[in-house]
Amino acid sequence: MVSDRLAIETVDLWKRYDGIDALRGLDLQVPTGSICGFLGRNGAGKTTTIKVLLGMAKATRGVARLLGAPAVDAEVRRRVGFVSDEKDLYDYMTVDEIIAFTRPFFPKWRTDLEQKYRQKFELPGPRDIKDLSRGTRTKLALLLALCRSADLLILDEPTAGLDPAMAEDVLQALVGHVASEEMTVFFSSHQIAEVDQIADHIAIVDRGRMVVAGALDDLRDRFQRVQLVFADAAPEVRFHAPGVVRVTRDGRVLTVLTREREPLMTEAKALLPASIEVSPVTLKEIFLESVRTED
Amino acid sequence: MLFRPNPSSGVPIYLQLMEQVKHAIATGAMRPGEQLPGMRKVAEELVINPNTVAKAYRELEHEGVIELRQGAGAFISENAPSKKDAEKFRAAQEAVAVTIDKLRAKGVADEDIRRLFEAELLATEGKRGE
Amino acid sequence: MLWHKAWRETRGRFITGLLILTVLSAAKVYEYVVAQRMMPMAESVLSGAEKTPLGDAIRDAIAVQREFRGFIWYNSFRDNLTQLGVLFAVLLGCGGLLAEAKKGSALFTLSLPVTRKQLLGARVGIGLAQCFALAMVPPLVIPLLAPVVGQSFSIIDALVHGLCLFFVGALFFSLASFLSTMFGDIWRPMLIAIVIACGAVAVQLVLPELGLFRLMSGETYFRTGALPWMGFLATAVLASALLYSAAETLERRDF
Repeated sequence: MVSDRLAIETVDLWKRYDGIDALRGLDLQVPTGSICGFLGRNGAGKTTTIKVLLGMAKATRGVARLLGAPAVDAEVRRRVGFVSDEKDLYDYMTVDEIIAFTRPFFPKWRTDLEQKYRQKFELPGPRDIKDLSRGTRTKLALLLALCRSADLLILDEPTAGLDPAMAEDVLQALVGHVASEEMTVFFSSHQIAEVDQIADHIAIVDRGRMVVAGALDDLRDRFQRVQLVFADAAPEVRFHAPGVVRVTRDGRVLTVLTREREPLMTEAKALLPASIEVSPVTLKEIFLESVRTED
Repeated sequence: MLFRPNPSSGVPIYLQLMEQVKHAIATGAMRPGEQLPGMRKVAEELVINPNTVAKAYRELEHEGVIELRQGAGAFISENAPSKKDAEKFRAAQEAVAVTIDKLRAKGVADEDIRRLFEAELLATEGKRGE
Repeated sequence: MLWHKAWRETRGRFITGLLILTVLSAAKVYEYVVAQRMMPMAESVLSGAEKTPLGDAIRDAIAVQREFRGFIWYNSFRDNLTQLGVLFAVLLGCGGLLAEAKKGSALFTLSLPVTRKQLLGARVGIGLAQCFALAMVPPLVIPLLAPVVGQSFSIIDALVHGLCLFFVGALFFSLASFLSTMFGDIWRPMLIAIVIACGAVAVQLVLPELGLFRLMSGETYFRTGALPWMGFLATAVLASALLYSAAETLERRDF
């Protein structure tokens, strides 16, 4: 069944809030076992997607599935961990109390991991949550998500507002956890560098729709910048090859940004340029180009 | 001994890891028969995706550079590039040094030298043969 | 653990209410002694007054308060416990998931493997138990303390009045709970509930049969000894309808 291979799946997902379509036919597929980075501009629909997946908001139309089950099913959340972007927990409880509160909901709670992360994150047991710094609250939220033996972890901007050292701690905890426990991670982020670092899949959403999605290595392979230098003025040419994102003409230089290197190379060579240079495109550029071309 | 790959360089991380391992063998930092650090450990220390590490190790095994032994770990294979190849590597380093000196003497800027090498490599990629 | 969370979130209000109502109830017992000393003076002032509706009402009020049972009914059940009871019932009903949303932890709660009905159920369960305690404990101190001032008060009376306080209190609790599924702040549900309470007072003046606060004070039982079964039934049905609506509203809500 397709659903077994997909930890998260949405098909033609629409969500309307007060007359505004936050999601407009979103198709998302997150393969089981992957670490998937979810990128998009502010207001593109990242948080809305996550809310629909976790049953916090109801889809206006379309399908949303988590681990094969409908997103509105409360029971599937027993296998899912979540860290929100606000990382707000119960202010009036202490660290110990919120762990004690969360534990009984998850029969597969790992007390060994709880001990490990309490120490590793240096969480002060009797301290009130309202007295914790943002970084410590993030680590606490992470502990609460990681100890439940979840099959899927969903994080909304996990390192937002954290200094680089804390951010690295969080990423390391994630990567370390994924290395030893089988799980899928789906995290939204504005930090392209961290997505580059730990994700093996990405999904870029813009204005409520998916614009780029797939394995990161694959995308890096196929997305290329091809620079053609001509002896005389560069020709004005319309490329027929699929996947051409942007063509810039500057004197004798034609620069083509493409998602599909191979078809373009064939066409480019036929133009008989003086030289062809191919250079890789960074994820940042892939992102910027993908969300800009819709303008 | 393995250091952090550069995620923003445009070169896939698994390739960078493979290069690091091959480079370590070529310079003698790792010898045939020696054990590589576990995949889990590498992922955690370098803070990169475990699947990426797994892919790098798999490709290295495919190329015969390392051996993955069930339950024991990853080991540099006996017929991996050895000191002989380390010498070949050093000879190559010298050849490159000579070429760069020549180009610099001709007034070619360092940035251009780099681009020329990269362009030539990319353009003649397929010609090297599988 | 949801019940424990609901308890933690409302225990301040509950304990405050329980203390205030119990102390007031106890205080009234002692006040009887003081009031008795002033009674002959009040009677002598009024004996010469004309027969007007107001004059009659005042005479009736004084007559009722001459006995201990009447004094307690007039000043505690009809007054303090009813008014403050409504206030605390409403206070207990406010809050909940929407209020959590304003503070930010709602997403954590909603990400747990629990349905919204379960979340509401825990809050309502704790809230109704608290309303029950607030309704029963203050009346029950009266039979306990009455002997100290040389009086006696029937435990049955205390229990029946407690029930009257509970049923109407539960109704206001349900109203506040329902309003809390529509508004996220604490103030609007409280304000609207109090406005409705005032409305109920107005209705009571015009149509005494539909007197919600007459029911709450247990007036029929006090005067005639008859248990207000219809009143209990009506408030229970209304409260259930409100709680059902709260559940449905919460179910549809987007966070």
